[in-house]
Amino acid sequence: MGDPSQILKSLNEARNICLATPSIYPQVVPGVLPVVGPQQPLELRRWGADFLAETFASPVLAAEEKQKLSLGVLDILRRYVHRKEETGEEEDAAVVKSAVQCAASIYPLVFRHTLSTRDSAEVWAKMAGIKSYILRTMDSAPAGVRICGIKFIARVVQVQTPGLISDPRRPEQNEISLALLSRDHPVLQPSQLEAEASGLLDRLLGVLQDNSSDALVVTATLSALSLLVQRRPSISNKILMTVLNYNPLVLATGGLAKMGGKERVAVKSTTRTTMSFLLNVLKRNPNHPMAARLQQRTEQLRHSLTEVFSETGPGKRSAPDEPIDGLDNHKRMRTEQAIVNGTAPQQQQSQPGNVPPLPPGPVSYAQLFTLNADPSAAGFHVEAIPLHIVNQLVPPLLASIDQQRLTAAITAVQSRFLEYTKRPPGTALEAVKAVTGGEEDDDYDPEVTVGMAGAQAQVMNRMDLMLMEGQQQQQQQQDVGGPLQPFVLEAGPPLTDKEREEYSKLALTRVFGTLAELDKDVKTKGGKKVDGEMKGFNRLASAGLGQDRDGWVTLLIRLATRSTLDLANGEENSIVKQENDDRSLLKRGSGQQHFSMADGIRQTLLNYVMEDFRRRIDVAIAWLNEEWYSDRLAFLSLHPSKPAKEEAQNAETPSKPTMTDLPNYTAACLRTLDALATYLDTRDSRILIRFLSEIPQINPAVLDRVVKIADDPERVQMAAQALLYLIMFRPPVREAAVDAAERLWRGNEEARGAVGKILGRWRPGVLVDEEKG
Amino acid sequence: MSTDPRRRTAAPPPPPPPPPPAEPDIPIAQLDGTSDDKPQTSTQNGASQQHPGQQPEDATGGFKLKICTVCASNNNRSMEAHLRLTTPQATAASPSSSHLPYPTISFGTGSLVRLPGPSITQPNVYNFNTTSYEDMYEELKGKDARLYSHNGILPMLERNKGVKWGPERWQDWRVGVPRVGKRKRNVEVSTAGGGPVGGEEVEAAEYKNDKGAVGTEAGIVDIVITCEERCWDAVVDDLLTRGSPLNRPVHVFNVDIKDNHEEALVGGKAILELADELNAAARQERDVVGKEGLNGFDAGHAGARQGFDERVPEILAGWQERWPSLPALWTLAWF
Repeated sequence: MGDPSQILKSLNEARNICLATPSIYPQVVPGVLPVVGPQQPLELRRWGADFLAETFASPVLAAEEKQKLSLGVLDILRRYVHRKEETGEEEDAAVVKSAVQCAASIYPLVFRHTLSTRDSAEVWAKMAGIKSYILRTMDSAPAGVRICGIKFIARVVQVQTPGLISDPRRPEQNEISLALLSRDHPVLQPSQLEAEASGLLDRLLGVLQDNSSDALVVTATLSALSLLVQRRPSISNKILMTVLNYNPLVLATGGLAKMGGKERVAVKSTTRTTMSFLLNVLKRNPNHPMAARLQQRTEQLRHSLTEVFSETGPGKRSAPDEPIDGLDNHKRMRTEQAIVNGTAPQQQQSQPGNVPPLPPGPVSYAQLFTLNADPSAAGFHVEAIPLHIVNQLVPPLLASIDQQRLTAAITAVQSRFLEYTKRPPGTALEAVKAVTGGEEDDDYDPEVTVGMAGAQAQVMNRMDLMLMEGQQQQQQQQDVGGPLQPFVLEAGPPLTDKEREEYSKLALTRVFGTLAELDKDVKTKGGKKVDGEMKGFNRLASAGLGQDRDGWVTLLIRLATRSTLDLANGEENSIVKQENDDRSLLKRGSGQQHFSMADGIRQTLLNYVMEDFRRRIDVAIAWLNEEWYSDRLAFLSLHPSKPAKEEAQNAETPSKPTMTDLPNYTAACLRTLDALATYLDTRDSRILIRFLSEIPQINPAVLDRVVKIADDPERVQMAAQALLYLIMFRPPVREAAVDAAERLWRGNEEARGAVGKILGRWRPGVLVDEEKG
Repeated sequence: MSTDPRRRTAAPPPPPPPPPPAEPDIPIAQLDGTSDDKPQTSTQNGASQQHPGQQPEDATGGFKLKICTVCASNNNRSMEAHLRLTTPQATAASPSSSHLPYPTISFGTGSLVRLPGPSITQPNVYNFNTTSYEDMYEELKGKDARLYSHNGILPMLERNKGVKWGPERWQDWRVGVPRVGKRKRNVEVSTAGGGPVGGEEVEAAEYKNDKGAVGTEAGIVDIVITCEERCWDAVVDDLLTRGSPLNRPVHVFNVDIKDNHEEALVGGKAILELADELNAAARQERDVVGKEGLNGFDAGHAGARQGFDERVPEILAGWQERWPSLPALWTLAWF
């Protein structure tokens, strides 16, 4: 044969021709086989194995051609991988590596050849032999061979698992898989092959299930499995589950410090490859049934990886880069001169020429001559020193005075004085301040500040206001290092009428919104009362105050009736007070101009009652009772001197004095009754009677309304019943009620039947008169 | 050797130390023409370089890993690395294996070639695979020669012109299709007929004019080095999607390099160093048997028992310690 290098040279020439014109591969491959055979030198075997691997991997050589060629290379492949058995020599890893790659490429081709020609048992046996040898030896082989073995297994699994048949009529177009194999093939047993594939898949997945830390094997496996997930739906879920459960961070359990460089590379590599694998599956099918899990696992891995490679290791967050606000020295820098550079004030003052400027405004002599910024020195009263000690101190002090410093101090005072005289003459304001506010400068009086910030501040006269500003200014200058002042929020601008109206309406909507919710609650609970609920006066003191409907209704009612009580006594209505009888009139008049909160609540309350008056009549009654009560209170407070006299009067004419003094009650009562009367049905006589019986006071106007109800022929009976009830059970208004009945009897023909009975008993004279008349 | 034009303004490098007195282990290859400047035309690419054997070990006397560099636009980082890997120069780290060019190809993973324009919102955009560096160079020179010289784009393109014909897109690379003859546009491979069909040939764009073309004729590499994590992700994802029809392992590295000229220079150096170490390991694996016979595994020196593939994480870890500013990443994928 000659020199291997010469042979190699010609082999390379042949290869070049093949690369340039792939169509001549079928002639070249059989030709080179003897030259690179197992008995040839290593260089040639390497070249041969590489060439075969390259040939069967080449995308430019048609699969048909490859399939034909594959039969011819089976022998040489077998002898490459079996070399140790045949010659006792270990085959070179590079040769085996290429041979296994080549085997992976031709395995599907041989499979297709075998299933298409029924008498190819021998060919298949050779392939099976190569396969079993690779499977047997790969785990103990060098890493390069082992990873190629992994890829070979993946290829075998791919072939021996059913794939998709895209077009049954054109088998040559289909991907090579078990699906192409007929059940009765003489050589190939589908069930056997599938079982083998399943076992091999488990072997592949075993690497991941064991959480192997061999990054090379793990990444090779993951990359090889990707195709199976893509193309083999029957096993893709199993693979995905395994990958999802695989933990690439096993090596990192000890923390970053315990990992060597190689381990770090391995952890990063396996984790990132797993993430790429999962993302690739997700990317190819965003609607994957396991999409959420894939996404979640990817994020999890990403976080874990960041955590592992952050310096502090897992479980701890890294310390913030910046010092927290307030601890940062730059942020704590003092602006006061006294502490700049950390030197004591005395030290600074000892330097001549470093004299603080005079404060603005009027200056005392003490301030003029105080060159030392230290407040303790300025506040020191020299007279506190006993005279004999002064005598002892002064001579040495005078002797020790530094001429230079004395000169500097004198200069400083001179310049201060000059500066002061050049200032614009003090204003009247400052003069006032010097007199009145001078003493208060140092004192902090919280009441003054609070009071001034409050509502009164707005009406203070201007000079006072300016004085206050001056004080604040000075305080600002002094307050560094001084006691903390309470923070005073400035009062907002006064509300305009329009704003106040808006806010009032908003508040109204909200309080009734709450009531509506509570009503809902009552409905859903079926309106059951809690057994332990308090009755009577104490019910408002029960735990549920404000929380249940009753409490809330009471709150609203009192808001409506009491909120204006004090205001009515206030200065604005002082004139009205005297003409108390017209209070309602005036209120109404002013109510048209401005929205009144109380009237708003009253109106809304009335609407609320009328929405469902049969059930909410209790609210109306409670409300009217409160109105009456607060009107009484108002009346009493307006006539403070009267009580004794009034009582005396009351004894004679119990209801009279209060009759006309209940502006809110009367108006509210009549409005409610008017509203009610419109809707009362023939069956609602009980409601009318209840209303009339429970309102605190009945005046003629109310009875007029009752009489008017009888205008409706259908409601005559109801009106009559109501009057009868009042006559029988409400003696104070009996006379008035009988009068009303008489009016009814006289004015309404249709009511005569019903009312006649009443009059027959309580005022028979009328009937007699009539009969006479 | 095509010099990097961006270095022209720099101080000339100190003269190389005088060659050591002839030692027996200086490979002969260093003395022949291959260590000279790489010829840029096919006519110059004469007999001394154009060995008929395409296996690089035949031509150079040493095994060479086939390398692919990848960045976003196949212009700055990957091309700097491409130039470095294909420039014959001895390095201190492993003088025995670094004086010859690596078989190298390079790609970009972006959708388009994007070069800085007059403002950040006006990049100059070109198509991959069909635009040559020459075209870009001429166009930008015509647009604003001063601007593009100033920001380093023209010098960069000038360098790239000397390395290969034009930027290529990773996703369009059909692994395993021979890179011989002239570049073709719109090539299609019919599965039945075999071989590339159709496509129009690009004038003056022969693959063998590229630096590092020798050894990559089969269209396959052993190592991919990306220059940005985004590119690594794109490459790994692309390889997963392709379904590994070739059954051939490939180590995919990432070396994170900022996309500017200075960092690209540093990164190129680091990549060369990484390639040297990987190559030394791979060569060791092959040499063990060659030197010491077929039973050499038993007597092999350190690392020999472990194959090249197995040692990759270790090598990368060692490299990372020396280049802590270039975060690295690696995985094994399949073509």
